[in-house]
Amino acid sequence: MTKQRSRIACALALLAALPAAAFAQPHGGFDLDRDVNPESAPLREPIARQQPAGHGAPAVRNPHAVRGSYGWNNGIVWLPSPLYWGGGFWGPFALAELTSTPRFGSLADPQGSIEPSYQVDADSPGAQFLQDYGLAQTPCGQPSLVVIWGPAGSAICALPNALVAAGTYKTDPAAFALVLAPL
Amino acid sequence: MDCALSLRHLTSSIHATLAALVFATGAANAEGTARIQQSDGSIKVYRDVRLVLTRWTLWVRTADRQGVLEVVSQACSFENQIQRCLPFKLTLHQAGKRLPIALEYGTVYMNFSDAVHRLPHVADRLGPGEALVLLRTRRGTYVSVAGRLDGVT
Repeated sequence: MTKQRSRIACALALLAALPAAAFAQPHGGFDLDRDVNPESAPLREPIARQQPAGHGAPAVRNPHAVRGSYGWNNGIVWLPSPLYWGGGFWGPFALAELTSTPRFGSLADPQGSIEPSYQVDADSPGAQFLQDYGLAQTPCGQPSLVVIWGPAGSAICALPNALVAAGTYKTDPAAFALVLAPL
Repeated sequence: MDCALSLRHLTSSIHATLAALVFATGAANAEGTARIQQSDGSIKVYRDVRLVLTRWTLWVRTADRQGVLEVVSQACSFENQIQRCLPFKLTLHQAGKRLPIALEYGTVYMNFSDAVHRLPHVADRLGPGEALVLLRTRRGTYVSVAGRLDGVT
């Protein structure tokens, strides 16, 4: 994601290039007075969206997943982070910046609300997930696609292939697998 | 003092105690550097900050022990042996108070391997046991912390 790369590069340049000696060493802890002002806007609460149920539904086994719960993540439990689209599964897309992120199609959720979709970051768990299944992401909104509901009410779409037929699925982050989730 | 206020005070005390406990052990060999850039461009540099990781939370304490930043993350995944987490909660423990800070976005990188690894997307590298924190608050303040983890519990 270009924006993310740019942000990281800028921050790192700041870290490396600033003449630290030019700044007085502050005393009495961190100076974040402006940020702890009680008049600050409250934290943005994540929007809870209902996803397709899919409990007990058949899974499409991930042919490349490492064995064991969260084996794909070195055994570290993956949990969604509330400030990011899809909890961060599809990449570090901050909810605060989504309005300036180009959409990659949209689709209706089980309640009929239109949900925007975005292009998966190449270095995200979601990109690895798609790669494991040999799926290529495509903009949502066309018929006969693989629709994948990810964490935190996010959704992306892919072209069907020999392993995954067109339909609606949800992700199982522990097994790193697709679970059939008919609407 | 009403019940809600008492409970809030108790919760605040517990967090302050926890923050103190996190830094109560271990040698004082803090080598981290924190930089805070306000939205008006003013910058303050904090040397010799101490970094301690407790599960999903990274604690950053100033050298004068007067302030502790609590950075809580989730969505941790690995890339080239570097663990990348996405922070969602930022709290400043200072002057006996627990002060929430509205976070916009950020990234926490940690290298738990025995080798130096390149950070994703950029040319910089992270040595064994080192961490890099990059945050932006809703007020437009940039917080960056880089250094060796002084403790992992």
